[in-house]
Amino acid sequence: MRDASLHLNPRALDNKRNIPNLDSLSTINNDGSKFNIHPADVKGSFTTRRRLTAWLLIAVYVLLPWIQINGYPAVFIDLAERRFHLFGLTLLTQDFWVFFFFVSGLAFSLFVLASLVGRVWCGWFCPYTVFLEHLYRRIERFVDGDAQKRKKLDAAPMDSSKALKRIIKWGLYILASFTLAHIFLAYFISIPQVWQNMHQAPSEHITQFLFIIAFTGIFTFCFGWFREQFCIILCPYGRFQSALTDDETVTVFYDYNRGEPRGKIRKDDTEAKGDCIDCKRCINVCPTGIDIRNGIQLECVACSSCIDACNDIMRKVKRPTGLIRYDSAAGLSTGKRKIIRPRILLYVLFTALGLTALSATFMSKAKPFYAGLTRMRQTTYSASEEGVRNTFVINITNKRNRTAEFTITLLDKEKLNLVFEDRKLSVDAIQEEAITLSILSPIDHYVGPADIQFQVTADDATSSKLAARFLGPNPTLYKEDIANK
Amino acid sequence: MEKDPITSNDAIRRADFAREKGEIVLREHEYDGIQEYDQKLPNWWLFTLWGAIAAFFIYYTLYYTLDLLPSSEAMMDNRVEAIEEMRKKALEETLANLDNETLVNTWSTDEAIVAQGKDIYAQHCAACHAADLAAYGGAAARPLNDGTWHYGAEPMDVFKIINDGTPADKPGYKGSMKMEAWGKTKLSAEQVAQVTAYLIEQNPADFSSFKK
Repeated sequence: MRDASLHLNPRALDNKRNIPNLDSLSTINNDGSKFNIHPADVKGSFTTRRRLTAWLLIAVYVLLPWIQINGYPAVFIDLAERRFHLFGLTLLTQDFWVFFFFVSGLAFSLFVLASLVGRVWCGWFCPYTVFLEHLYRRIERFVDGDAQKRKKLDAAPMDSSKALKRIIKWGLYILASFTLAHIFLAYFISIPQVWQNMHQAPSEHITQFLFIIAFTGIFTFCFGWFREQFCIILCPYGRFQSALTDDETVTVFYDYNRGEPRGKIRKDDTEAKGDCIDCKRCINVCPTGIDIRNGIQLECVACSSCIDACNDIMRKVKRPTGLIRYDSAAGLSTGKRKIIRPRILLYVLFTALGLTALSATFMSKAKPFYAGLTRMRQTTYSASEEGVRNTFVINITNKRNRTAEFTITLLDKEKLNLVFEDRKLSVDAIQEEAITLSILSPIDHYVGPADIQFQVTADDATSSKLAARFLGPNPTLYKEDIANK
Repeated sequence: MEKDPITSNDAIRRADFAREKGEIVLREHEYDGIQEYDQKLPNWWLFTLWGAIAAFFIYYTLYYTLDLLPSSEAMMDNRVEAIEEMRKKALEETLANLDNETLVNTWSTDEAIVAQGKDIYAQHCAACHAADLAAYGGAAARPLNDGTWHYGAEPMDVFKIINDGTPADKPGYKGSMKMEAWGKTKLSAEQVAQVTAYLIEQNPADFSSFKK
């Protein structure tokens, strides 16, 4: 942000006051160890909406492997067979180019999103946040009580009741992670397979068993202990933010002009004071341990907890809500917000270009079958009294979950008067089949090598063209040779 | 050599002292107006460095020094070997119950087997040898209906040439055209036997001496 200094609170540098500053992480102690923060409970319209969104997303994540479309789970990344089933569409390794569009499309969509509304993905939709805030933190809240109790428990010496609570908490974490790991595995091997493997000895599916163990460990570690460190330090998205946001980006902001100078409400106040009563409620509810009053920061995941917290306080002290709100830097200082700006148009244009390229490529390449052509091994061509003959092998992979009939035709028969009879090939569901084809150019019509095209047409009229080169000898020498015999 | 103001012992001592007093140390160097604080790295972050170093030693020891775990190259070789082994076993199993007499008397008289052999022939062999076995008058390959069997006239010889292709030491038809080793590429040993049965059925006179 260019004018971040505008919103910089000079007192933020005063590290004797026990509030987060801009110069160090409040989640890392001076000796480098991690400081576990316990965000206080918060209620409000944003929190309610966020919780509903999270429940919906968790339901989607959990249910996707159960929903069957065209005989396969809705999202099924079949690593063993190297097939990818996405909502009824089957992609093979040959279709891996789609991945390029997927990743770049995702990137550009995030660019648009981030420049419009900042890190809203992180606070509202990211699976990491969703599981952390709405599953694991709820477990912690359930076992250890509210933020005050949790802080006290953290500081208390280990005794039997603390040990019991810790065992219950981590036990529940592991249980949740174990369940999540199984659901995650289902995306790769399908639910029935997971169920079947669960009834067999681990040694029979050692890779999958290790997968479960590893991901149970990873989930427990990340959601139980590592938490906001991922969002602050590891995730690249937070780093993009400074490049993608500008003065017009709408995100969580503290209205500096209205709030400052901050201070507690006193009866004998003589100086004019801002609306911020310095209750630190916004700091207490922050899941990444920052002070939003220091302006936009890398750590902020735009979860809007502080908005709900501040609004609650403002209502209590009978001041207008929205001291902390979704707004843009320009909106704060001028009251005017601009949504459409060159950078947004450019990002949208790039996204649209990508989508166009994807649909164009998809129409021409992602067929319900894959056909490949190779020249027959051991021979290039054969030339005899009848003419020149080339032999090709066409491999057809049927991507659909049913037997399909394919017709192979030669498109450029008029070239060299090529002789080829249409061939039919039946391929079973998700199987591969090869067919060997021979083409003849009669001696009277042969005038040298030529480019030819085969067309493979499936029984549902989708077709794919295969280019080949019809090879042969020098026509003059060849005809002389035959005449001399 | 000039003393580096950041990594010199003096600078480190000053920074340590300041950190002990709870102050945040700002380093002196500056690039494009950007300065950096000298904060302690998160311990977990440092752990990833030490962990990576440890992982290297463990990995190298397990894979390359003690050879306790197979490298991906060895795993690949093992897989290829297993596939070869499977093919070989399937071939052996087929060959165990296959000889000149059974091919002629059992396989080539079974309509279902012959029909399957005909399908495979149409799919792969007809391209060169033609649907009528005449190989377009011998243009592209050896005719299979002229009564001569270049690589041996016994049923098992026919099986062998289809399975193994033109022998490596032979020049091939017309000095250059060699047949692919179908049994090693696209067909199973059983399928090769089915094609052989079809050829026997089509040329009854050539193999009548094996008929019982």
